Amino acid sequence: MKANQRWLTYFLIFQLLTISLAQAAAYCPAPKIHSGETFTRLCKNVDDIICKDVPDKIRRSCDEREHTIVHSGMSANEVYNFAKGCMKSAATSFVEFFTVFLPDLCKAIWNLTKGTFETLSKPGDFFSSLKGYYESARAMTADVYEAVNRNPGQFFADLWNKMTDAVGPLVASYDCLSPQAKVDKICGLVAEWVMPPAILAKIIVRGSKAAKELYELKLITKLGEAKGAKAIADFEKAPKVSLREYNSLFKQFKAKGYTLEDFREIHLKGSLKSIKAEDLKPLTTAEGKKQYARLLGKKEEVPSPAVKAKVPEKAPTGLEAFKTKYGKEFKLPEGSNREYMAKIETDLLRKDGKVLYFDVENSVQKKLNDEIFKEKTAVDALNNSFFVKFNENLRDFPELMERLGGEYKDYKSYRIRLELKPGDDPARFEKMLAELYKKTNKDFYADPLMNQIRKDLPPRTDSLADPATWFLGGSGENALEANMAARSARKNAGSTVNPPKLNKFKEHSGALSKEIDSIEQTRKTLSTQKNLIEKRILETADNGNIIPSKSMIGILRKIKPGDFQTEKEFLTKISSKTQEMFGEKLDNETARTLAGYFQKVDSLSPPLFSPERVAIDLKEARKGIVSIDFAGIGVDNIHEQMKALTEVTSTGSVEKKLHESFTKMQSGVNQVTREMEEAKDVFRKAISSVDNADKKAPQFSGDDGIFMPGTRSWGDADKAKLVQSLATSADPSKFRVTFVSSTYAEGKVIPAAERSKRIVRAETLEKDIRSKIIGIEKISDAEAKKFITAIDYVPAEKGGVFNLILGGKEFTPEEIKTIESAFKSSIKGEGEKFGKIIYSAH
Amino acid sequence: MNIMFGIPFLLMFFSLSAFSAEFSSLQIQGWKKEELSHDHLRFSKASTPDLVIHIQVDSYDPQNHWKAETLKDDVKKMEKMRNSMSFFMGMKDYTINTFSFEHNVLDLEGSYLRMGNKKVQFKELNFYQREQFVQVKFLSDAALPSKDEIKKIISEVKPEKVELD
Repeated sequence: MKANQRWLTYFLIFQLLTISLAQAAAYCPAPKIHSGETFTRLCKNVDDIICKDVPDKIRRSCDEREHTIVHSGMSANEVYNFAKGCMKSAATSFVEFFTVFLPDLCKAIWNLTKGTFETLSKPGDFFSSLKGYYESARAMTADVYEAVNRNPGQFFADLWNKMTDAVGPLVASYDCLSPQAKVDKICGLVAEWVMPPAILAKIIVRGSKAAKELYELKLITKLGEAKGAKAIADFEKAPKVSLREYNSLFKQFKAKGYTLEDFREIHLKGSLKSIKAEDLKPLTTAEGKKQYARLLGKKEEVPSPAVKAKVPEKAPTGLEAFKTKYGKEFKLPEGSNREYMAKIETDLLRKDGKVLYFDVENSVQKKLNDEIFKEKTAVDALNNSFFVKFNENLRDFPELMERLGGEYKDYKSYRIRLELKPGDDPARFEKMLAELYKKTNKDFYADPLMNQIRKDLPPRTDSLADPATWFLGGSGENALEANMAARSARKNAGSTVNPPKLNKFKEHSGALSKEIDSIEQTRKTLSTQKNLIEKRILETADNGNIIPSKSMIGILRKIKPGDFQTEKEFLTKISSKTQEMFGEKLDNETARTLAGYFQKVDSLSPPLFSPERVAIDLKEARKGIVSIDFAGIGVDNIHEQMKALTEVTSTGSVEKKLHESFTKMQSGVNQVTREMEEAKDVFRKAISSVDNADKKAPQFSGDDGIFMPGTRSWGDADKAKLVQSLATSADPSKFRVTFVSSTYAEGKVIPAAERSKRIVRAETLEKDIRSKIIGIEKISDAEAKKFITAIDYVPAEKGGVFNLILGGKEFTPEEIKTIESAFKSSIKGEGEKFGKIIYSAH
Repeated sequence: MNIMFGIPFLLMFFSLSAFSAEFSSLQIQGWKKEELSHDHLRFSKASTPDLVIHIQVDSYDPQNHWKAETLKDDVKKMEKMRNSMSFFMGMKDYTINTFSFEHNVLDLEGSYLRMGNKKVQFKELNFYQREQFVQVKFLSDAALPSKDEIKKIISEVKPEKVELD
């Protein structure tokens, strides 16, 4: 679409919208309060209605306007920040208005009037008589000149007032939004188009303060070169043709299929007189198309299959296509998570039952990562797909939107908070949430690109069998309840027969209380088995109560019932693993009880909240990657939860018992998190001890960390030094360290997505080695805690070479033999080779 | 700012006509001339800051010209048109109080409010030739010049003799 056409289109849309909304206003129900609606969402609404045809490159993104968030509960400071955001937006618009929009608008009006004259006039129409039009245009030019010349400032103010008067009714009737939402839209729509800072300041609270600040920043006085004026200058430079001749010529061009825009382009290019009107060919003919292309200086668009057959680029298929479409992380406005987390705290003190939380999470994230896709970007894309759909579907529930009082999103979950109004029935809103969840699951499943992925997935019968069951949802009166409810749906994961539905905490609280009782009962029963204690399958925790040891928890975490066709196979696997690890073959009943105990405690794990997601861009690595994964965090968390549940003393109400249970579990998990933060500090110090000239620091995202050396690529000595440094910590085995080169052995740079895969591969190798070397007849669990098994990986395009760096203790020849054997036997991928074992000094 | 704003609005309505050097050489004794564009001259005088004269030329369609029998209606329509056109231009109540069309000259007199409160009087004379016309427009924030003064100025400009390309 040509620029003028584009602006003309906007202008017409603008006019049409004014009329249509004015008409619509009469049918609108009472204004609704969109108190918590974020600007991003409003912005998308605006985009959906008005800006959908605007090319991305000229459309201001919602991200750019994200500061403009308004809700009824805003503090004065938030209002100020909002005003500032709007003012920034308006200031930019102000510059753009003069440099781009206004000249183009003028041209568009010019075209509109001429176009109307040429094509639309009919008897009785305003333009049917042109008498006095030219005279009036000239007269008006003189009037405007004098007005501007005498008092430019006042003229601008008057002009703006006129424009805002014209825009006012549009805004007022704009799809029946609440006043707050209208302000949002004013900022998004009007500031985008015509709203000047001065007028905006009248609308926005504290606008003057914001204006002052922006003035000081020279943001509202900046005026760039008039880009649109250049087009006008071109227009002026074009060969002069009388209006009459112009109109007469246009009629002839029009008869051949040319639009007024084409005609104007030809005129501006100076080629209007390069062709006689009688020589013009209709645009429907090949010759006419050639002529058109020549006159407009464009490439001929007539397809000539013999020479110009366009070879379509090979479109990505399956997972690649999915990653292309959903690879970009869906983000909430900055600060959303933090705000949400703050509200969680305050809501815990509320007793009015007017807050509703919803939680949906990818319940099979780890399995998808480890067993199916083996790359984080693929699973991230899956999550993005679901979350984008959820966000879009949420907008289709206006009543939910009106009550939206917070949103949270992290790498695997999306959470929302609703603030109910007086008289609202929570059950009705839980029902809406259930519909929203169901629809999103359906959309996620039915996505055509997902369809292809489903086809490519190997057939499974476990929790990964059906993508419609991957994302589980729950609701409750606080964040924990909602999360608990979502987790309790896990039993349905993978079940195509009984697909998950939104779990409501209240419907489960009684059962949950009983579950806690039963957990404790199970534990007590298990603790009567002396052999389990003797073999260290169970241990006495530091609170004096007997619970499964961390090694046993590790086994129970890894072996999941969904991975087996039958329960027998599952129990047999547990038993064989305990035999290997503890020298104790469990009978089916004990294995079943232990597994059940673990699963029940796991289902009560408190949710993790992160104020922000740190996106680590692996493509920035030029001199290799050092990856750190804090091993055993999941085990430690469960261990703390088990310990906490042994301390629950409440025997009264269900609520009291649940509250004590969750509070104590949360406290234990917090302790694990604190320890992980301390381990991050150890890693930071270890990194700087290797090369203190390197000013780059490790980046952490959850329990993963990445360091990209900035000064030089690390040699074996550097890597060994890092391992040695980490090995001096209290629990060296906590550090799962991998070194991955940023280039292939062949010399080619490894693409970012591939780097992620190779890091996962190196980490998997480390896990495999450790699982093979720890056992009753191998290296004891206690001994294994003393050393680090770091992987140094130099990838090749197929496979690559793996070195093992050991550190933390003096290894016995038997231990070395065991480790080496485990190492070699774990390297079995295509092109994968065993390199060497490097011992860091002890 | 003036330039920035003036250009689009000037161009919003015009113009494609070409003009001879004769037009640009027009003078009015005692008045300062500014050539705003090749088809637009402005005259002002320090002693009467409220009064300015704009002279412009443009083409018109002789096939669709003023006629005595429809003049009243046509001027009414034109008044309406000017009110519409002035919507975004700091003017309102564009009123044509008197009008006549004699000897191929359209004579208009009226007023409008600038910036909503400043009354501006205007006298506009459109002199038609074959396909072009010369517009002489007197604009005053106070009172318009007397008929004799206008006559004197017009006789100096000699619009009917301005050579147009």
